[in-house]
Amino acid sequence: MGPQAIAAVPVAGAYVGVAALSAGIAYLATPQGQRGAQSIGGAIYDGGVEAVEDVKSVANAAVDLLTQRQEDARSGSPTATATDTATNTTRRACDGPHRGRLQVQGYNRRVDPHPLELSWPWTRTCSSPLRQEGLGAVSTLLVQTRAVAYRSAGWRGAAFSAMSKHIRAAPGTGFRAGHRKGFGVTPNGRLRPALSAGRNAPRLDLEVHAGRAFGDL
Amino acid sequence: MILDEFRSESGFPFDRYFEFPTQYAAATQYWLRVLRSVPGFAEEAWKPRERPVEIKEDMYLGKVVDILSIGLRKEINLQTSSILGDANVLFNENQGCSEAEYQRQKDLLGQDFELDEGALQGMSYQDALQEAEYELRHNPVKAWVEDAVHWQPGPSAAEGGFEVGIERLVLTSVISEQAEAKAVRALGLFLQEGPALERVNSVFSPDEEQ
Repeated sequence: MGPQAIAAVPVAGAYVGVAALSAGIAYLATPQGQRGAQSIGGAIYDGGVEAVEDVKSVANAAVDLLTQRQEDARSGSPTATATDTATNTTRRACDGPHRGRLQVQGYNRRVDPHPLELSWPWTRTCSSPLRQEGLGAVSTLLVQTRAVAYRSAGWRGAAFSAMSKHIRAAPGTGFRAGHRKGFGVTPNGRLRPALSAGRNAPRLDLEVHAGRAFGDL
Repeated sequence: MILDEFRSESGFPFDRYFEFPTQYAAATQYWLRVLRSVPGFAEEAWKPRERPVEIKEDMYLGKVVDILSIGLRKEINLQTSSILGDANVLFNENQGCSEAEYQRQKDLLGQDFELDEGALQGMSYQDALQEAEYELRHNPVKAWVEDAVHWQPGPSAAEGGFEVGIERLVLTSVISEQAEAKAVRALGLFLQEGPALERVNSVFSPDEEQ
């Protein structure tokens, strides 16, 4: 079946990858195709990235602030909340709202005393959480998980590891609204995407609900 | 069965959807036909979930349907699967961890952060294939419903939008006669009027020991 036949699929085809079927899957496999599909389908928010000015100095200032925040988080300082503004909003263009969450959930009877649900949500009016803050959040969630059940944190080690790698690999502009990524651990200790790990699998999930998250700007 | 309409298609049952765009497209069409055949599915009530379209990732995961109905407060995530596709996922997700990478993880997560031997060594493709064969032979259809949150943009809202609580169906299935019947049942249960979490999970994902 080639792209011509695919393009003939009726309207409900739009449910998948929006313009994917009408544009032709083969075309979509190319970077140009992906960009095309994103604009045609309206499946991406612009995020107003271009509006960010004075990028370099602002990013440097933000990293300085966030480094301090991570240290605060590790020391348990009450200033290290997930929802306050962590960046220099006086020098960054406002492109919010930015919302989302990192969440530890799920259950493994052998290591969890009870089902876990720990969340690191963010709600920002203007400035998105940056990469360093996202990495700090993963670290914070690991500490919190250990506080609840040390063995549970160990069991989920591969998921924490994978999530930190995922955030490190985020595009410079960050993950966009609608982005989801989750890692689950199966009963035999294998890492799987959360979508196939099972309902109660110990998981670490990222959901970007609005705006952007974990970029460098 | 809907399956019968696709048997003559090249590549059927599209078990290399993760490698070949044409197979991915065919699997997508198959599942759309299945979805449309389910009593209670009213197409006009649903729209694609707004998200960055990452076609490589969708092929890797087998994600073929990702739709949302604000009116119904429901979302459907449907993934096609196969032994080869599942083995590919297992193999890729469970790569070993190099010394340098392990140190980077420790620098971030603390020097006492540890990965177990299995995570450090990774798994061979042969092991991944065996696990996928076992898993899908015993569990060709996975389905559950979870509570989730959808952010609905609304320029007039004080925060630029508002959160809507939704129920999310996560359905991952191989393409086979047996699986089609189960998948249709899961979709049917989910699409019945009213909250679906208990209704679906009691049949497809009862609480169990992990």
